[in-house]
Amino acid sequence: MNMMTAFPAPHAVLTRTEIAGIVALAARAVPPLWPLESAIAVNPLAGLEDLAFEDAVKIGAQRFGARESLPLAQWRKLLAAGRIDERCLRDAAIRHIGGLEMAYMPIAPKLTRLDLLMARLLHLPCDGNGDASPKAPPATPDAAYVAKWCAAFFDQGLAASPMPYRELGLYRAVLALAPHDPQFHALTADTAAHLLLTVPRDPLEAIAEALAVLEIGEADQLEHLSGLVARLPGWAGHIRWRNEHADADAAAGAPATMADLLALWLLLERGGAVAAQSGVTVTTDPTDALARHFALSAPLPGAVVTIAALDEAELGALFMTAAEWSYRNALAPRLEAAARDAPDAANASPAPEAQLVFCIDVRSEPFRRALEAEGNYETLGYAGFFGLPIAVQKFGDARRKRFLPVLLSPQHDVGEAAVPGREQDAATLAATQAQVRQASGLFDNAKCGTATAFATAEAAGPLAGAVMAARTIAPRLVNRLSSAFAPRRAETLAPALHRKDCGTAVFTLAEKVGYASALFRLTGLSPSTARIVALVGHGGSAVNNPYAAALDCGACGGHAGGSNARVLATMLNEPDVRTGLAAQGIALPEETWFIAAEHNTTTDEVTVFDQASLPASHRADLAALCASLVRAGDANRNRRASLLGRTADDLLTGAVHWGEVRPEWGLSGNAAFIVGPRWLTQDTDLEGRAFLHSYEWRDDPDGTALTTILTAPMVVAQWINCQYLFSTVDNDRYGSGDKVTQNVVGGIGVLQGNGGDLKVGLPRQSLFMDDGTPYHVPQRLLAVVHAPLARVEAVVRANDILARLFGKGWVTLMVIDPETGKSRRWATDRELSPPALSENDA
Amino acid sequence: MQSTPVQRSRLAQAVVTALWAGLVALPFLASSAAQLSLIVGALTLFVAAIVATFSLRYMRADPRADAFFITLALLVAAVLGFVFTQNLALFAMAWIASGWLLARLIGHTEGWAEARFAARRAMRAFAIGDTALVAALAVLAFHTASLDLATVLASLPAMPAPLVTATALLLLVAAAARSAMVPFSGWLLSSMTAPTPVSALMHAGFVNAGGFVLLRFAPVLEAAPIARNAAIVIGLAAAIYGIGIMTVRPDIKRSLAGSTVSQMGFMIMSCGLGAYAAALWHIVAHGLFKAWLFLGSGSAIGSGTKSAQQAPATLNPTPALTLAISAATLGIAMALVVEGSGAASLVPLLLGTATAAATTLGGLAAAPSGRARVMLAGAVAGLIAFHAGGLAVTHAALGADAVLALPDWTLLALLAAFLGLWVWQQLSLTRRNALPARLYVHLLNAGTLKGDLK
Repeated sequence: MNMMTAFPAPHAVLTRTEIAGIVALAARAVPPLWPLESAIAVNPLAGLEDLAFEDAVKIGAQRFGARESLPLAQWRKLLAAGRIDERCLRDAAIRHIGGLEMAYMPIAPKLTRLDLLMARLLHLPCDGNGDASPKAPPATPDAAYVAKWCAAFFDQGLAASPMPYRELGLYRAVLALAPHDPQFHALTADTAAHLLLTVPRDPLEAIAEALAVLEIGEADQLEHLSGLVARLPGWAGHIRWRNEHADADAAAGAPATMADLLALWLLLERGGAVAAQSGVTVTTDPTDALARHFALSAPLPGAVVTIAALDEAELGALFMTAAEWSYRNALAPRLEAAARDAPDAANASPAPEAQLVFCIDVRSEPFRRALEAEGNYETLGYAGFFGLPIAVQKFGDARRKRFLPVLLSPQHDVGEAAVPGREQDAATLAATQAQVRQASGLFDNAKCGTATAFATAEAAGPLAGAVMAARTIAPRLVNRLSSAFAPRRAETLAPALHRKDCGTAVFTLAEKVGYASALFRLTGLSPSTARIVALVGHGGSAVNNPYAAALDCGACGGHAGGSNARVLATMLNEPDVRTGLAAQGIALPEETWFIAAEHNTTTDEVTVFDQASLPASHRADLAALCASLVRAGDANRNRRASLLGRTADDLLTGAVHWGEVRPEWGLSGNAAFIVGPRWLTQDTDLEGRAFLHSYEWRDDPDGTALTTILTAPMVVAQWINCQYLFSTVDNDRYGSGDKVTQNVVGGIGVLQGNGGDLKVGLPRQSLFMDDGTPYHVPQRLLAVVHAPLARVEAVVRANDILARLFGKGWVTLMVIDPETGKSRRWATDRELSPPALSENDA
Repeated sequence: MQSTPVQRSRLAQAVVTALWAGLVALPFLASSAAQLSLIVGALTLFVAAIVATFSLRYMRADPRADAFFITLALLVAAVLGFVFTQNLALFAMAWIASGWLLARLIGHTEGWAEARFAARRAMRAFAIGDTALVAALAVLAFHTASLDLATVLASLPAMPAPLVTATALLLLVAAAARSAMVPFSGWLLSSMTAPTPVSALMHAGFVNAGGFVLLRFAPVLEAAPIARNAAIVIGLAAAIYGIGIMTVRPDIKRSLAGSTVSQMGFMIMSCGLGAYAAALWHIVAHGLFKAWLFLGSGSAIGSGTKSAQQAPATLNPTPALTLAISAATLGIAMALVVEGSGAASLVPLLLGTATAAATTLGGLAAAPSGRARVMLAGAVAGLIAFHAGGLAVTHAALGADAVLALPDWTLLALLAAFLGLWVWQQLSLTRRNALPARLYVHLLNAGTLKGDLK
């Protein structure tokens, strides 16, 4: 033994800058988590999108202790229900085995590899009871401890008495409180009490010291910290949202960074309190069952062992592939046929009575179909924020809210003001709001005062009993009564394009013209517009439902999209803007009038805004349109009611009932993102499973519009798709579990039961039917683009994010060539390439 | 055995129908029952009927919806059983069954370790309380050689005083376990694994059992001043402890649970004082109040923006106003005591007066407009009328309050405790002071399941 090893060199303590760099990378282990008030869908594995989908799923499963696929029993139920084509499953199995020859080659008398694999997929007993949402093991004590402080620290005012020392930041506040906390002492070794006094107060320095003391080598540091971030994906995600996407006032008085969270974890680890994550699942070896099934005796052919060695996750992946192929095989031929029969520009159908621009949301498609059946209406799809990067401060709200996709940051602050002539009503609304605020403030204060809490309960009790009975038995009546006495908000207030304080314009003319022309450039809407063009935003209706905002427009930052529609419609009706558009070659007919509307996706009612400002000449047109909208709403509500297993009338009740856990299916079922003109899809019932973005390749020679569509709305659609996919696959880890045991925390999200992590993803009721089978079939997004192959390829190659999403298998890209009407699929990096665009194989 | 959705909803519908029918039929079926039983029975059925109707939607997708509705129905039946029976043996059996059924509902979700721990914790607390109850009832039954409640209560004067005291203390233990008094609060504070409607019923119907048993056996307590005074002490402690928990919890459900501990403490304290009518009215009104809050707990998203912290400070009664109201209240109390009218219900009544004064004066000062002032005054007047009406009903039902077992001045001390803490609390709120660290941590940790700690 020489001198060098006798004195091991102490691990170098990293500098703050170095640590900050590692922490920033480790933070990417989880995606940001938006508060439910403005719920935004994110991919829980967003941090792993650099990897191939299959690898990311495996690593995610280890990192988060999650399942890789739906349980086999659930897949079989979906197959039995006809939601997956068995031929596609067979094809997927054949591909897995390595081709037809391998699959059908006999390995024993009358036995092929395919027989073996199909038996495993379809018949052999599977692990577990097939419950799609088993509850997680109880939070380990260390995670429960960190989660407890996160909940207290990040509370947005649910607790009347805030956590002490919050102004010091999360880590230092806990350092100050932990000496008084018996749970800390129970959790850690005796030395930890001393540690509380001596650890650095700066979180970055504390991390550096901890990494050195714990002897975590440089190579393992990032992995170690990432693992700790992923222990509580909800709270870590909340920290990311707060620091990267929230307005500064959200964190006022209580600063916290990922370094705080990691310093806290490492404090526990130094105290000996961090438990090793055990992710081992014991599965039964199906070899014997397989042998019995086919009456094989030893020695078993090697193929039996190979196929017996497949785990449920691998079998589940085959089912998912089969689900994707089932969908694609049904859709592709129909779109190809439509593309071949492209309407001739020369003998186009007569000019439509009205044009309506809807959000790309999957819930727009069935409504559009129903409306088109009511008359000669042309409908288009456009991102529901209508291209306006705005934040809106609603009348009476203390804060502005972001009405735009989270990929963007707000460029304009829009307020709300009284509609001309309705100033009196606006004043009444303001007074009512002030009174309600005052009353609820008095009530909140009285119910937690040591002298006042008891009499408050006694005095409020009888009233509470009456309200409770009314809301349970006659919610629609309550709703009608409560709205009868107040001026209607939408008729009284409108988004203000001028600032209240100084009267300056929120938008310059050039900006207005820019946003207005984007509508035409991105959707291919022809400048020869109809007499009425409606911009239709959307929102959902739900009461007493923490996930209400998840039913609203994601493109509007988890809010109803009416405000954005109203702002753009107002701009498009301004003569200056029309002149500006004409200068850009978009000369609109003088008689065209733009109106804004909002589609309620829960009730299928459509509110048309600002009808008073409509020219008298257009009244009859609007009346006809409104009648059609009502009929289309009835039709679509009936269709949706059958999917929900309820009556259409009950959907109206559910929208205002405080006990309703599934007011609508939301974006469940989403499967495709189709970029192209409406005639491509008009004759195909897409069953509310497709995002539809209008696009006219002829108007976009350089592909800029296509680039925008694919890199913005499609990316958002992919987030949504991945959120639904993973929330279904493991509803406890990637989703938020059963609604009935959720517990709202801090005003920002939910816990399950008594505590633990802030839940991510969607609740069970949003994804699964009452009998527990998935309504949402987990499958990856199919993006379909109607444009020349070369142009699409150029766009994809020029944008890393697209090359990654398509190449790594997160989204399947299918291009329909307008000239030939043939579809091509973008090959993943794993498949043989070049050429990247191969013959559509499935 | 998977039941089809149709069958499931039929069973649920049957439970709902039975509960509403029971509520309507109650006055006819039980017309001869004691008013106390009628009132508590009606409250239980009303809340249960609402909860079950609510659950038709809310529990629609529950994998064990059948078990849920059946257990719920049995729980209500068990509660009604001990509320209406005159037979001590039936009383004990129904009482024990109700605890067991509630624990089943706390652990309703299968395969969830946390739910199992919470259910077990509730069972442990109930086991202690049930043992005490059975022991108390056994003593009474053996001593009087009767299982009939009226007979037993009538022959109390013949019982030796130490035995009565022991029985009363045992009853108090039983009440404390059900009403989640310290040291039994943990089961209620960690029961958030129960589906929301169960929590609503638990906080509105089940925890009242503690108060009910004290009112039902009031003569036993009245013969045992020590037990009554003990009830005042544990009630006061829970009243204040629960408010502390409520104010620090960042999650809506446990915050409500803290509030229930507090409200039950106040009610048990009222029983100890002998203010029976006030206690019974508290049971009814708080039950409705808490069921409403629990069923509506999904609305707490985004509620932070209107919290006490961020609301304009003018919404809180100012410390000066608080101090003035407290001083005036104590002054009135002192005058009443000196004059010799220090009755058992003085504490609840004067706290009610202080609440009305604080709300009215604080609200008037901050009202945004003249119209708002009028509406506020009207609302407070209406609430006072409800409150007074309710008290009148319970007074008519229970008759006179018991005579205080304590010297009059203790009433002043009790009032001073509530009012003094209130002044301190409002002062801290206005100055936005946090609680002392040790106290804060203790309150925040209250009720943590041992199952998820080492």
